[in-house]
Amino acid sequence: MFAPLKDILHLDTIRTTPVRFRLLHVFSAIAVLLLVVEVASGVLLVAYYRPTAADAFSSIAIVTDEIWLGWLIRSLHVWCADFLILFSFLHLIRVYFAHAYEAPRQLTWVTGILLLCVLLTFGFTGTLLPWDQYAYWSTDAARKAIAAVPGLGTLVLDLIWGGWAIGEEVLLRFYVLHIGVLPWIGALLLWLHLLLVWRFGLTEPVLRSRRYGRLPSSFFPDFVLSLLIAVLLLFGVLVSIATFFPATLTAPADPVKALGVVRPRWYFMAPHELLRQLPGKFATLALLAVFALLILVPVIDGRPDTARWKAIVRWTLGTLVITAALLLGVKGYLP
Amino acid sequence: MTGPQSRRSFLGKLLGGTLIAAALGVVSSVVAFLFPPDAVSSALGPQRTRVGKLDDLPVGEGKLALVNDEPVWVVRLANELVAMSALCTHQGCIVKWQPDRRLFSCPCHQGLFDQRGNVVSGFPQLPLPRLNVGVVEGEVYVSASRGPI
Repeated sequence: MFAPLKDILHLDTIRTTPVRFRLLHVFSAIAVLLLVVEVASGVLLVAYYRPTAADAFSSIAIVTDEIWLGWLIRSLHVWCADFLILFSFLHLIRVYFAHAYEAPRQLTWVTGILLLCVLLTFGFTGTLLPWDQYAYWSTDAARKAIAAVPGLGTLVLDLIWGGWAIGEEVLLRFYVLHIGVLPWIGALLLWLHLLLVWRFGLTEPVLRSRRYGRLPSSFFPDFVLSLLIAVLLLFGVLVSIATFFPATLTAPADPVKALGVVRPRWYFMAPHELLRQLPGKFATLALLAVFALLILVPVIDGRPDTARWKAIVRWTLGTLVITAALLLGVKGYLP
Repeated sequence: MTGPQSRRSFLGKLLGGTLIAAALGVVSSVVAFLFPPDAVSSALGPQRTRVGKLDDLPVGEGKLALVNDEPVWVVRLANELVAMSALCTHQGCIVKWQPDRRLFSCPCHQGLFDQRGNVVSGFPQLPLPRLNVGVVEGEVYVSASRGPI
């Protein structure tokens, strides 16, 4: 009665996947599926959430304590966001070291970087929404960190915060960004990103001169089957973590009673620590330089050649940035 | 039917059945999530204050609590709980619950209200504003939202 899905999409005829590193290629597909879970759990939470200073905390408390499986859905939403950003970073690292941003995939890379920025903004705005002490004071710490950035800081604060201290107005702005603005930007970027991936296919992340004696495997069913197994494993881990380490909710936000030590989410720890360690101007320059490098990588190193010195520079630079980010992150967690 | 084919068919059915069972589990959980318990779907709403345990409030007794910085009386009647503002509608004094007379009396000008907050006698012209009250898992909650007068 219905044509099989693989016939409709021509999955078995036009798509192949690279010979090697199929496991690493799964990162991006997992990130997309995590995004689906994130959207679905977010839509469910919206059914009960109230974006006002008076009701936000208690509405989340009710979801957690009284609604059927509400605690699990909220935990999944929180953990899934962490996993989504983690897998997006892993995907970014894989693409970088695989030199997969070279022509004709420059735009794929740029849309991917922008998509990652959108995901980080999702995480940032979502942190405030439970309106508990951690939400309030971590956002307040972020406000101070952003304010320390010369020039840009005030602009960002005025644009996103509206110049207000953290209160109902900021909560409402973050909520609107989280569920009304970012999803559209994210969906557009994701659509463009996937379209470009589909158009140009996946790269072979090995030197082209080497042969492995194997043919590229087909997208369907080989890659899809690997993906299915990876997804089942991941969801098992995700649900287990969400069950045994459910998302916490501290006391309701109290602007008078400051928390002692407030650490940002793990994915903001490196820039947060950089802003803490260096004077505002240098830290800002360093962050802008990393961002500019990320965006401009395909312009600087976009030609498909296999020069050895380029590969060494690429690996050194990539390893340095990752090591620096990890060290800063670890330092931020140290007492 | 050959051996490998029947095994493939069996595994296919097993996989299909597992997927359908998982999908049903997810869908039923989502549907259950979207139907909140009575206590939540009632007028209590999320903005509510815990007053105490129902067992600690005998029939006929009242309890004075603070809800959004406003004094509120919660009284347990024979078959229901009622909650109302404790501020007299005449001059704003805090009324007192008299369990023996089943009346609220105002110490300032001797206004009297019945157990549901209606004016019985004295200067007050308006009844005590009622608030929504309910019980969730043995705990009495009062909602800041106003109930029927």
